[in-house]
Amino acid sequence: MLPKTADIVIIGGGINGTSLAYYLAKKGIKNIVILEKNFVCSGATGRCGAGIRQQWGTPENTSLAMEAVKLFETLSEELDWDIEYEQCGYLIPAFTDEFADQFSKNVRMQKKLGLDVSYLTPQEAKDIVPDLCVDNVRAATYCSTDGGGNPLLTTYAYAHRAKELGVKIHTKTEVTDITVSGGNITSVVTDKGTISTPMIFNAAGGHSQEIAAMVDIDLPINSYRHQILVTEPVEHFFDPMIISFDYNIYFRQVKHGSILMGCSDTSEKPGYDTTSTLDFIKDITTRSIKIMPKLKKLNVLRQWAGLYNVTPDAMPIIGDVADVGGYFQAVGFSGHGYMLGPKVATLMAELIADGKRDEIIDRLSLERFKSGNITVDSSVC
Amino acid sequence: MFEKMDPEKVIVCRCEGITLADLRDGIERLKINDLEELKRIYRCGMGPCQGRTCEKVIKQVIQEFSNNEVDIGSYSYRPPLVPIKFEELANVEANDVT
Ligand SMILES: Cc1cc2nc3c(=O)[nH]c(=O)nc-3n(C[C@H](O)[C@H](O)[C@H](O)COP(=O)(O)OP(=O)(O)OC[C@H]3O[C@@H](n4cnc5c(N)ncnc54)[C@H](O)[C@@H]3O)c2cc1C
Ligand code: FES
Repeated sequence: MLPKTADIVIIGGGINGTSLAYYLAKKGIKNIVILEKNFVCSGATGRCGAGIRQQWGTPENTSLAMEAVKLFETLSEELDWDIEYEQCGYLIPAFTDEFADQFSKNVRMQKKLGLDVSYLTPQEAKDIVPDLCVDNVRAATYCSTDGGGNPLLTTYAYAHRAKELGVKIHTKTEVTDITVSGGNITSVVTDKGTISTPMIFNAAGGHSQEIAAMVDIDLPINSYRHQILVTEPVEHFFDPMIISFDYNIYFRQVKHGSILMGCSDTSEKPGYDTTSTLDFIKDITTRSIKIMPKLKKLNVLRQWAGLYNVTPDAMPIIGDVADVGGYFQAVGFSGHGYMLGPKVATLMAELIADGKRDEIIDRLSLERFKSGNITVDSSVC
Repeated sequence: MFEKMDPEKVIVCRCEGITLADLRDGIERLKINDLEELKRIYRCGMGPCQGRTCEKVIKQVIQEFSNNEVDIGSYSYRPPLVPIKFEELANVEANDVT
């Protein structure tokens, strides 16, 4: 049974919704309700590559990710659940001079922010991953404290701890409307009934723009299908996540032994389709073999797809908004919401529970698009 | 039916080596009775057979150890339906790469 009232309703049971619920409950906020239209982790979070990297192209993404890494380092302990977090590093080879130049600029900016990152020769890259084919590699960057986790375990751990602190999670419950009166949120309408609430938190992932539209907020966001595959588990043969922006591909061997591999398809149109295509596996297997010939012999077990929720500058939109009182959001993560989600959730919990506004919230607010003066992070794939 | 069995010894998902004890932990301690959620926590159904072998048994276990009648759901099967090698999928040109 849905409760009649709540102090805050969180829309979405992915990493963003569950971690926010946990941090709010930990601060003593009561009557927190999460509404999830399918099941916990059914959105992008449960479909993602779960890489955690700090080597970004803008100071905002870089510093948020550095803060996120600090949080992940103690997260298994905090949640008392092994979330399979590992600092296996990220190796990013450049196959063109253009990317090699861009990377040296990125590294300078990242070092200024205090990140321990190195600019490597092709041979040094091969020393880290002997099976990497470096014939056409110009340079590479490497950060040993980058890594990844298990997005499913992270989300279920947050959800479980949140429930222990009194948070109510209603799955198979879809938000269909939100009512506003006198400029303030008053209630959330679902297919199972209505809840009166003065606050909502939009954590609806690939559907965040639909939720915002319910309160007449026009988010500059589009969703795009993003496909991924997993191989059979094999003996461990490389440590870091490898990404190439030239080949538009990333892959990592997870603890369990399988390799997760995904890529962006620049011809993808905005939409909500998450079906898998044969073209994707043909294309990605072809490209990945060029970077790492040893992959040839591996078996693909499964492929699937999820939604990237993309903003014009590839940085998330977080915080409150000027026109609707009680509306908060953490949306538009542009393909890096697993790694940034938990840190953003701590900042949002401080804003909502304590009224404390970290300066990054202003830098990543919806307002930034009004000036038209944005810097795009091009280190995405 | 499962109540009397030794939960540590009964394998409910052969591909991933998941025991009845793992599942009971999810159902009884974490209070999760959705097939898709249990799969995501314990990996039951994530093996090469994609759950075709274990789905029925796991559903029976959920029914037995959840207190009320539940809507368990079903596994989503994803392509390819059988494991296929990279080199068989990759385009011909790529096979020139050594
Ligand atoms: C293939 C792929 C690979 C990725 N790789 C990485 C990576 O390596 N590292 C990384 O950091 N990020 C990665 N991402 C991005 C990351 O998955 C997302 O940014 C992140 O999971 C977003 O989390 P979320 O909680 O905001 O959204 P979601 O996990 O999508 O959760 C939103 C939830 O809201 C629910 N919902 C939507 N509408 C409604 C409604 N009307 N009513 C009720 N519920 C609703 C959905 O069912 C969903 O469960 C990847 C994404 C994809 C698709
Ligand atoms: S027996 Fe469970 S996945 Fe094959």
